[in-house]
Amino acid sequence: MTSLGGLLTPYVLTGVRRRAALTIAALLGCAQYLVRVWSPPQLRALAAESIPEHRALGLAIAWVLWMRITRALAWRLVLGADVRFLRHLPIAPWRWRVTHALQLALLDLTVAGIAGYGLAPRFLRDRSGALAWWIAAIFGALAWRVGQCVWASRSARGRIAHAVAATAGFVLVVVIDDPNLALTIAAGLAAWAVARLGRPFAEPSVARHRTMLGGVRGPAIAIARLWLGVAWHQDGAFVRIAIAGQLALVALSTLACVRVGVLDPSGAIAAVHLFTIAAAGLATWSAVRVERRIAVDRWALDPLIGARTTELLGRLLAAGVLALPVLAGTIAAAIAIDHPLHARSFAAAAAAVLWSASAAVGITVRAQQRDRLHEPPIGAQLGRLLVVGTAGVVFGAAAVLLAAIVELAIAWRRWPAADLMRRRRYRAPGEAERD
Amino acid sequence: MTELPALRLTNVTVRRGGRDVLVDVGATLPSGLTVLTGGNGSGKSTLLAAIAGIIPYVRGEIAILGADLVRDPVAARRNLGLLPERADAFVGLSARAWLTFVAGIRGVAVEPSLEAIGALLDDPSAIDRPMSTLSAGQRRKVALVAATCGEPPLLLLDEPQNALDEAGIAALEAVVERWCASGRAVLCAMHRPGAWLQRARGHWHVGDRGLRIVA
Repeated sequence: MTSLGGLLTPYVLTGVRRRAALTIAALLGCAQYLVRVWSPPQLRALAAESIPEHRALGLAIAWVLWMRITRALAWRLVLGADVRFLRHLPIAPWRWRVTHALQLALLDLTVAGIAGYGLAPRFLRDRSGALAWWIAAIFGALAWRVGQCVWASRSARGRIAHAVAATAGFVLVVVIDDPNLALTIAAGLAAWAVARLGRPFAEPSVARHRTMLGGVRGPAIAIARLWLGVAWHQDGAFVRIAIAGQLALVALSTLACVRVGVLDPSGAIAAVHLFTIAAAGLATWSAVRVERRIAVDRWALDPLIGARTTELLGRLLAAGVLALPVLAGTIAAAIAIDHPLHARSFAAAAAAVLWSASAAVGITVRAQQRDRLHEPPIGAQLGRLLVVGTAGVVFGAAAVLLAAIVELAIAWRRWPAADLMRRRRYRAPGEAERD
Repeated sequence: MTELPALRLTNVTVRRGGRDVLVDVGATLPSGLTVLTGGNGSGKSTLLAAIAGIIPYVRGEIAILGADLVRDPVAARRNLGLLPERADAFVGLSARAWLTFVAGIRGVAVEPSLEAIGALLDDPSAIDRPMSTLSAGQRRKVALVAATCGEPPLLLLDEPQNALDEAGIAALEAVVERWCASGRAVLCAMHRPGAWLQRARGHWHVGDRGLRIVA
């Protein structure tokens, strides 16, 4: 018998790696930096010493964040269209249960690891209690995941209600601090979860259409709205991850200002530029992905879009909106946290947003000109990040701004050739040349 | 063949995107070709997906050759093959890998041979390329081979003619003819059935969230 897990797991993970490799790498980079800033032993001691209510709340926040950030992956593993299609084949329910339970357990290996680390001191004095808590955490994570999949077909409000109720239950169980009770509840939920994995799941509900820039008119705005619509509706998971990544990088940049802004202002400014350019790079990648997604449907758009100014401005606006979290995060940080480098941070963020938008346009126009838009332009992206990141660190925001202007000027010059190449490639549905 | 109906629907309600697309649908599918018609968004594909077990139904019973889809899911699914409207599942795999997987799950050999499938695709090398690089018609031919893999007694076809060239349509019609001649059942959802209605033994119509048996 061909292994179901052998087909599904590598297939899904390959898709995830291809789609979100840069973001995952950026998030891991942030995570390792945060671990260095707040050492795990300190956090563990803090959790152990705090009162049960505070500990429960802190754990619940971390738990919910983890579950929410990785929800898209869980959905992809269990509810992906490919995976659901396989449900028409005569595959025994127990095979589905084993495959999905293993996949989800693998996804939440982090939970098991962190819970094990947190419970290690308790294990020395109360072995059975610590073990019960650890198993309860693993079972609870599995049940939470299956709950996420069951509720995926409900409305956003329904999903939030489910998450709130589950979080309240989590907090209550942690506050009561009875390992046997926790294990009993978690085992019951896990049993339900494993049984449920044997039956097909409904498809995730379609996000309600949101009108972006609804009141604003004009062809460039229309293009920007279309691009943003594609980003949100067809690549929503990546957009959300990119926004989270941008905000995390802004948080790191603020942290640098707070910690060394007085002692070493030039070092802090260099860190600010580094982090904001990295955040802008995430937004650029988001915008490039949108252009690549739209490419196959260009035959339908080309009769409507013709002017260079209109199209480039539209794309620029859309890419700029995708990079706005960098600026918004910097402003929010300036309001919330006091440090001496607000003006420089703001300038760096504004320049980074402009550069991000123009880099997205530059990368995609060049890829179209070379008929290479179907390949992820990782080299072009990394090259720009390196050059502009270094320029920003050495010469400041003005250099980033200059890079943005140069990028736009080159894109403007290349556009006619790129447009011609694109129109040749995508003439009509089904006629697109395949590689 | 067995006397059991190929498909029996009893008060089936299917919900999708928070609304009931089909309510209390009941019917028994005869052997031979049955055409399923209905307007855009009426629920033809949803009905086929529910019968195939891809979309869970909220009420009712679906039995395929007497095997209940919920209580005996493996037996029920072993009795059906599905050609979906869009053949875009697992397009990252090669046709060879996909068909080998489907045949492995069904416990049979790939039939016709992979070489014959390569000829059907008009390009023998296409069988080893990722399906994402194949044309829509080629992917559909691969999906047709996957649907008929193991010769299931019930064949569900969703807009089967979409994207197929003449050779593909000839292959499709040969499959339907073979299924009907051997007393098996084919349920075929179509927007514009045309000549298919004349050779069909049954005609179902989906509309107003219900199923009407026209003939």
